[in-house]
Amino acid sequence: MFRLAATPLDPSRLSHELKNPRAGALATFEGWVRNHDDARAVDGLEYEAFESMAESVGQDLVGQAIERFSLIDALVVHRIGRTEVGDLAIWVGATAEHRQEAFLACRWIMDRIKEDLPIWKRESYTKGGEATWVHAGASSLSHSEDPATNPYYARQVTLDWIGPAGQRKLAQSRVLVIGAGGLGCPALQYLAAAGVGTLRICDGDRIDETNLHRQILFSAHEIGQNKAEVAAERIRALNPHIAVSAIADAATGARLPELVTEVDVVLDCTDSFEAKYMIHDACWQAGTVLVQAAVYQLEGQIQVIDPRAEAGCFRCLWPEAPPSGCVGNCAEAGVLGVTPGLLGLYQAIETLKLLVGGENSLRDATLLVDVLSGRTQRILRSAREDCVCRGGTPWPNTPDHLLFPGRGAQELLANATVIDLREDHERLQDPEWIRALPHLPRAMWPALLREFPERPLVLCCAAGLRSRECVDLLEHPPEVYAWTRPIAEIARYR
Amino acid sequence: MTRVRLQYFAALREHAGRSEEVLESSAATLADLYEELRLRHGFVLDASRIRAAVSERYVPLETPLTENMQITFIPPVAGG
Repeated sequence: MFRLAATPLDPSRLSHELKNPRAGALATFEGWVRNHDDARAVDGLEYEAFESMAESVGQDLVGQAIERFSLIDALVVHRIGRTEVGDLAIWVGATAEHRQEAFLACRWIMDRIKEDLPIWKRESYTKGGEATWVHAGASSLSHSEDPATNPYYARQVTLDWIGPAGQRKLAQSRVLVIGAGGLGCPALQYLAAAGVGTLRICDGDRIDETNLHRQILFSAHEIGQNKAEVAAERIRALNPHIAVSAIADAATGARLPELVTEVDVVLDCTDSFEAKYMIHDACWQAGTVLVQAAVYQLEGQIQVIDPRAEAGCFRCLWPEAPPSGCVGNCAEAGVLGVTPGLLGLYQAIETLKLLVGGENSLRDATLLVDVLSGRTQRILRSAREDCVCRGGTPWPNTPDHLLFPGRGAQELLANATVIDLREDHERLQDPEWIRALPHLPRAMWPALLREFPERPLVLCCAAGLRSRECVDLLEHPPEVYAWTRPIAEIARYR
Repeated sequence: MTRVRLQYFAALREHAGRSEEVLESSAATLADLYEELRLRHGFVLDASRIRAAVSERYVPLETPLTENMQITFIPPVAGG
């Protein structure tokens, strides 16, 4: 469990709370109030929390840790109010059958708490000076420095191409890297080291022994752990001045439209056509620039898909994915580790160019790279007038399952009236919440707009065909959306 | 007969067993030429699944062959 405490913590009593005959290990972490921040002497700290939110976020994190690491139990207590040097500010304890899970969970909880918990601290300094509130997760390195004068970036700020203004732009940039594999690992390292302020890493896979020759952020002892989480840990250690977060899910799920909307640039570092098309379609519809790379054995290609450029989208070039099995991925065709390494570096530099501003040579071209011959070829792309990105037909792969682009499913469904377009006999086996939805069988469709004046409306049916058909019949009225998946799948948004 | 200079990328290079070749062909268009090559080298993908570039620009496969044309055939790639 998680709780806040306004009085001093007693570690032995807290450990006692976790006693359990099944537990073979207890790992604990104590965070102490220290007497300095950078070079300034500190004589105490005051913690202030947004209490109800902190408790629910904390409780949620502890629950996630228990599930993730198969813990027997975990307890986190965070101090609030005034603390003195040497006081315990936070105590984390995790019990498990074996030591490994307990160690890992303790660290995971602490890292997540520093990042997510709405708790602020105010340092008071021995020699006076104004005390300021900072988020408790801000390390002493990150809140005190202008990136343009931070020694970490000294060697690149001196480049005219970056300069102080460019370094500050990087610090304010948000980048999502989807896939922490052979492409993602090197891209992440250089984006972090260059000072991209917010890096989000998305990968649902676990580290496998056959990955290690190319996924160079990972070590042999981390086999079995989630790639996004381990990558995030490495990247945080590499550059403590930036915010790094891990999303331990495949990016192709329901959250994709939201994820790509929240960032300036997305890097597609995945290794399947299915993921590449979904990520591309989501980025294009969100207006987010995509830096896309793929490799085959000793060759690779990279391109920048920018909805604001004239060169069209990925589907202008490749309208649809090839049938599965025709073109091998790394597992099927084999790959030399350096190949994705090199292409991942190309992705990093193209991303930096986009963020710093100015020219980008791949917004209207594909770069083909052949590692063996050392040859590269830049091939100009242009838009295809009958492509889906030029209007007309709906996107074949609308990732939020709504026929109309530009709205996140989550946000829309929170405010929309959902209407079931199926016939009565199709509704007999439905769960209660679906039967409770307003309902309009086909014969009544022409009356839809009159019967349901409220907006927005989301139309649903068994598979999504009728909802499209109905929207077509009504000639696409504003704020009326077709859900293009089975009706039951809206459950996860409600 | 038209003399052309070919480059293969990724899986096409693998199946052709070479990254480039010069040959003479009676094919009228890039699509016809690719079909000839598909039979000769055993390419898996048919012409609708690949792209061609001439003089560093993607071009339609209906493009007619011209003497000394530099052609790159590119299959889709997804590894990472």
